[in-house]
Formats: sequence, structure tokens, C-alpha cells
Amino acid sequence: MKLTTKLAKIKLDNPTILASGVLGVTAAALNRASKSGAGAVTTKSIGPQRREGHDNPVVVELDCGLLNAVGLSCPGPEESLRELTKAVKSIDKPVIASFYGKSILEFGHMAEFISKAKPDFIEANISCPNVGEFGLPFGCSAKTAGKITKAVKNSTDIPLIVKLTPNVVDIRAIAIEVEKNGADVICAINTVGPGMKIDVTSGYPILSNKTGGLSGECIKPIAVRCVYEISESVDIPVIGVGGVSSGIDAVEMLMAGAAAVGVGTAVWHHGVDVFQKITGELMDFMSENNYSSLDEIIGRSHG
Amino acid sequence: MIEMVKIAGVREENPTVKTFTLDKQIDARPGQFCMLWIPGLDEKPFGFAKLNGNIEIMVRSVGSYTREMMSLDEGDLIGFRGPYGDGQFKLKGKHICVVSGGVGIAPLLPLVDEALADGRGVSVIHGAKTKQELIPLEKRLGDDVSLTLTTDDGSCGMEGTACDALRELLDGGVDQICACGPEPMMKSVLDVALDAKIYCQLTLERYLKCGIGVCGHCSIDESALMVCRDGPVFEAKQLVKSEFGRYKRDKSGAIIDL
Ligand SMILES: Cc1cc2nc3c(=O)[nH]c(=O)nc-3n(C[C@H](O)[C@H](O)[C@H](O)COP(=O)(O)OP(=O)(O)OC[C@H]3O[C@@H](n4cnc5c(N)ncnc54)[C@H](O)[C@@H]3O)c2cc1C
Ligand SMILES: Cc1cc2nc3c(=O)[nH]c(=O)nc-3n(C[C@H](O)[C@H](O)[C@H](O)COP(=O)(O)O)c2cc1C
Repeated sequence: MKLTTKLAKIKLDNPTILASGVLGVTAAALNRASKSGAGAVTTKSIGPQRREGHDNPVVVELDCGLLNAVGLSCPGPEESLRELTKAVKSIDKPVIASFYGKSILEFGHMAEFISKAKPDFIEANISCPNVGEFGLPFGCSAKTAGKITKAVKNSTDIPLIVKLTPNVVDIRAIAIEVEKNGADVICAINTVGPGMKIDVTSGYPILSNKTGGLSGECIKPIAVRCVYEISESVDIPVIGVGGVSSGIDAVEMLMAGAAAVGVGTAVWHHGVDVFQKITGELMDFMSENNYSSLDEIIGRSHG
Repeated sequence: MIEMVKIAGVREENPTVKTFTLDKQIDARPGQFCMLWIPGLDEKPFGFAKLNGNIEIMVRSVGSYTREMMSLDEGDLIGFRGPYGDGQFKLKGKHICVVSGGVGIAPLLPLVDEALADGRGVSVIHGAKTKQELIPLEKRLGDDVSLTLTTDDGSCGMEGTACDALRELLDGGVDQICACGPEPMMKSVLDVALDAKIYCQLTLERYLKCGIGVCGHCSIDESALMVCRDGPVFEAKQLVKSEFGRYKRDKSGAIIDL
């Protein structure tokens, strides 16, 4: 039985990927996730400035997932580059360097900057708010998403993943534009919402930022639908992220068309061992249903 | 999930430390912690200074959040979530030596309660810079505990550090050490314990954000053990050859020397 999969030209031992922003603040943490069985690991999104992020509370624990507003904390580009370089050198699996900018130009600069560490992929997180254009996330406009993709492609030779937000009317249009401008892989989805949780005793929204992105079990149906629509519309591979915590969840993502699955919030309940758990369950499913490779599962639901 | 809990009582321990009794009982282990939320201000981690009956939280005023806590009174509400932390104190030895620096005594108190109830011998070393910064412990600990006080300036008890006192106590049959306090102090305790080959557990303080092992902000080099999830109590062997005693990360994640 084969669990290997491919993203652009890069091979993964198994299809599980540590999602951005979960654990991956340090090289050591990325290494731990890799040793615990992740097929690839993604760094927390690296930004152009040192940022403390939002004050606590930055997470709300819900029955069906998490609300988070960590606020893209970042020790600054130089220190992030040092951790990234250390990660690339010490980890024997693909390392994905997630990053963001506050303008199209800055996305290009950041891509060039983090490419110095020679990660296997860079991942443009275009789900963060765009300060310039109406404050909407860059990823909400197909045109802007395309421009960012192009700016990044012009700044680096490292394969590019573009990570999309689900909070749009038509994710297909955005995926098409991103592919057209040269993206090598699409990652979907980032958090849903934003949402809000109010403590009714004090009357305060719990998150200091008031609103935060929804993740975990409750967003899986949205993630599966997005992955299905994207893989229907483009030819480049898709990383399916959102609510994956079991082998069956992974199968569902793969059937929707994903070539690999990102895992974030599931680390909360299952710890870093979640990667081994998912691949174990995935193998059980494959042997019970007579699948011998992931290729037979990927995209199956498209008939 | 955060729940608003009533403060059932406040006790002043010394000019900068207060103990808050919360109108809440929980099932937790010594060493575990909670996140306390002051709506509109911030949310910060605190250990449990008492676990049987209503829980107690002992707080030292060091910055804007803890200063605000000092103004809270009986009847006020505070947001509570927890208990958290898989790394907890466990009783292994027959004679446990508890080493504490200042408010570091807080999470060790439930351990002392547990050890006494279990009929084990307990020595407590409690150190601070000056007499004023010591926590009054005689009544809380009772007669079954041997208490050694130390101050850096000799204004009360033995002159020197808590670790100096530990070295002197080691011949007395101590077979387990549990420590909490400023990191340089704990680094010395760790070295003494390793040297004497005595089982030792220590708590680690790092900047906590999510508190539930997701954001990764409190992960330590190179093991990537997370203080909030794998700690906050660690065994000595988990901390050798780590960042412990050398550096930590600030709110942004940038490395700062200790
Ligand atoms: C697991 C754990 C248990 C703790 N238990 C206790 C306790 O029982 N009693 C007690 O008095 N203190 C305890 N602390 C320390 C307490 O959380 C800090 O003193 C408090 O957060 C300081 O906040 P401030 O705004 O008053 O000070 P600031 O001026 O913000 O900071 C003062 C110091 O506290 C640290 N700190 C600030 N915010 C945090 C944070 N979110 N997480 C961790 N450290 C932070 C800073 O790095 C700095 O060194 C504990 C810390 C941890 C990690
Ligand atoms: C605490 C937390 C922090 C996150 N930070 C980032 C980030 O920095 N960059 C990013 O692209 N996505 C970030 N995400 C989104 C995740 O990578 C993922 O897309 C989303 O949580 C859905 O997957 P999940 O349900 O498996 O968590 C974060 C998610 C969480 C829960």
C-alpha cells in the first residue's frame, strides 16, 4: 500500500501536512511535527515586521472547533528567516514557508526574502486583511489574488502555494485566476468567518480582537465543498485543509480532489500524534476497501 | 470554555502578593494551571495554590495585568478556563524537598498537601530577596513540614539563596525535589539535583497565548515541548540541553536572553 503523494514535483511520504499557524512558530516545533509523522510541515505565516499579535484571549474553545485571533504574531523577518533556515536544514521532509505582506508589492519582497532559506515551497497567505483596498482580505478578489500570485512568481523560483480564504462568493473564480498567474499548488481553506463568541455574564466578546477565524470540525463541510469546487476548476494540485482529524476525514478531502491534507486544530484534541493517527486510519480504510494507492482515491467524488 | 467565577475571598500575603479564593472547585493535579481573564484587559496563566475545597490563586504584582488583579475584591468576577497542563507534579520519593522562590511557592502548596496526606516527609525551602518578599507560610504548612527560609540580604532566615539551602539539606535523606521560582534559581536547583542524582521536577514559565497546545508559542528548544501542554512541570531530564536557563521568547516570538 502506498501513502505517497505529489505536490508539483515534490514527493510527500504521506499526505498529512502541518497547517500554518499551528505549533510551527519555531524550527524545533516543526521538527517535532515532522518526527511525529507529518508528511510535510508549514511555518506560521512570516510577516514583514515584528508583531506581538493580539492580546489574550486569542482562542475560544468551542464544542465543534476553535475561534482564534492570534493576530499574526511574528518575531520579525530576520529572526523568522533564521528559524526557517534552521528548519530547512534540520528537517528531512518538505518544509513550506508561509508568509504574508500588506501590499501586492510587499508580497513580492517577502517571497524573495524567505526564498533565501530555500524552503521546498513558499505559501502565500492571502487571507489576511488588505489595508489598502477597502480592508477586505486580498484573497476576496480574484483580480488581487491573481496580481499577488504574479508578483510572487516574479520574485522567486521556489514552487508557490497560494492559500485561499473560504469567505468569498465564488472560490472557483479565485482559484482559476491564481492558477492562471502561475501558482503551483492551491491550499484551501483558511479559517471561516470571522466569528464571535460573547461571554453572557460579563457581556464582553471573549477574544480581545472581538472576532476570530473559525476552524476545526465545524468547518469541514465548507472545506470539502471548497476543495471540490477548486479541483473541478483547476489542474494544479490542491491541499485540503479544514477540520481534518481522522483518516476518514482525510479520505473525504482526497475524494473531493485534494492531493494532500492540512491538519491544524486537530492537534488540540489529539496532540502532535494526530499525524500518525490519521495515516494509520487512512491505511486501515485503504486495506478494508482495497485501495492500493492514494491516486485511486484522489478526486473520486468527481465521477 | 471561559466561565465567569466569583472571587470568594482575598488575603494579603505581603506588600506585593495576594491570594484569591475562587468560588470554584475543580479536579486538578498539583502543577496544573488556569487562564484567568479580566474582560477588556487580558488573560494570563496562574497556578493553583490550593486544590482541596475552593481553589486559591496566589498572585504577585509585576505588571499591568497583575496590578489590576490587586484591585479585585470579594464578590468581583473573573474569567476562568482550565485546568491545563499534562506535565504535573507527582509524588515519587519518601522525603520530598520543595524549593520555592517567592510566589513560586504557589503551585507547590497543593503538592505539599498531597504529600502530607499521603504520610510522606516534606521539607520546604522558601527564598526571596528580602524579608518583605517572603510569603508567610508557617500557618499554612503546619507543624509536620520542616520550613527553611532564606533571603539574599539575610534580613530573615538564612542568608543566601534557596538553592544554597537545598545543598545543605541534601544529606538529610531527601529523595525527590520539586521546584518553582525564578529561572536562574531553578537552573541551579536542576544542576544540584543532577549532580546528586535525585529525581527532580521543575515548572517552567514561558509566554502563553492559547494555553491549549495549539499556537506553539511556548514551545521550548530543541525538544519543542510546549509549556502549556506538555508542562508546565517538567522532569529534570527533559530540560537538560534545552533553552532552559539560557533564553526564552517574548510575545512576538523573538528570542530574549534570560
Ligand atoms: C504556567 C504558569 C503559571 C503561573 N502561575 C503564577 C502564579 O501562580 N502566580 C503568579 O503571580 N504568577 C504566575 N505566573 C506568571 C504570571 O502569568 C505573570 O506574572 C503575568 O502574566 C504577568 O502579567 P502582567 O501584565 O502583570 O505583567 P507584564 O508586565 O506583562 O509581564 C511581566 C512578566 O510576566 C510574563 N508574562 C506576561 N504575560 C504572560 C503570559 N501571557 N504568559 C506567561 N508569562 C507572561 C512576562 O514575560 C514578564 O516576564 C505563571 C506563569 C505561567 C506560565
Ligand atoms: C491558532 C491558529 C493559528 C493560525 N494561523 C495561521 C497563519 O498564521 N497562517 C495561515 O495561513 N493560517 C493560519 N491558521 C489557519 C490554519 O492553517 C487552517 O487553514 C485552518 O485552521 C483550518 O484547518 P483546521 O480546521 O485543521 O484547523 C491558523 C489556525 C489556527 C487554529
